[in-house]
Amino acid sequence: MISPEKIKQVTKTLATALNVPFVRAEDDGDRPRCMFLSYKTLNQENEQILGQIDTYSPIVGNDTKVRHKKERKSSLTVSYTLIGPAEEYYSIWESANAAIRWFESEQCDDACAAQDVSAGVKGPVQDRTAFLETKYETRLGFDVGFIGNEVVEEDLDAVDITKTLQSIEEVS
Amino acid sequence: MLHHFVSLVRTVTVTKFVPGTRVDGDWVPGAPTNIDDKMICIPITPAQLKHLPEGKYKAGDMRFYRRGGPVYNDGDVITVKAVKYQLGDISDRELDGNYTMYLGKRDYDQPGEN
Repeated sequence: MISPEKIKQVTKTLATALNVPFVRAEDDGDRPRCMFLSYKTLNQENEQILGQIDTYSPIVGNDTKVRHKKERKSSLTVSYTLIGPAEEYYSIWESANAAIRWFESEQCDDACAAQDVSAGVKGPVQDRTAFLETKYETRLGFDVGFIGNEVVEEDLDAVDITKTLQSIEEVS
Repeated sequence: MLHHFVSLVRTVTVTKFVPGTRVDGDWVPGAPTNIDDKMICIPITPAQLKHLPEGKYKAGDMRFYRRGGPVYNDGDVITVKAVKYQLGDISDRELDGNYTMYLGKRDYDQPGEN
């Protein structure tokens, strides 16, 4: 699972680069009155269990336990939308294109590396403009795929091979 | 108008919320403040529902009458006998009879409610 906090930190860096405020979509809060960036996690899933890498390592100072580490990829799709008044149509398009370019930049690579994830744009910019009772609201959005590592660690009881072998009694 | 109903006036608790803010894209609601106030509380009847926004209220939600102009806002909560009502619509009747009518929708999302 990729923590939502990681997505928020990457989005924060993106919004700073675009010089627009950002909000998590569909909460109860007030929205900015100017153009802003909205983000929403659409889905998240782990790689199939067959792709999982299992490793066992000894724990220093504790011979009775071993550490079992299970590692596999986790993917997550985030929908980004730039929202603003209809009269800002052209500047919203510029910001949407700038956001696409940002995801292909080294600045994005650095921001993602800091969160131990990688990101890539998954589709084209879509016009998601909506009519809100009395006027249009321009919405230009695209989806971004994030990939991270799902790591689970647990300590298991170790098997003492020597004692186990010694305990075996020969049956005649 | 309220003079005719003075015997119905009771003390209610109004919870006002200061404006919230956004922190890193997340909405942080404002802190609540409780105020005791005098109001007349009358349940909304099925007949009155016909004159209200469709689907927004139901019988059992409450009308609150308070002397003077509007002082509370959408989203503020009025508590009457431990039951909470969230204000949805405000009708300013200051010029008619120096009172304000607030419409409150019962908040069922509280401990002990079904």
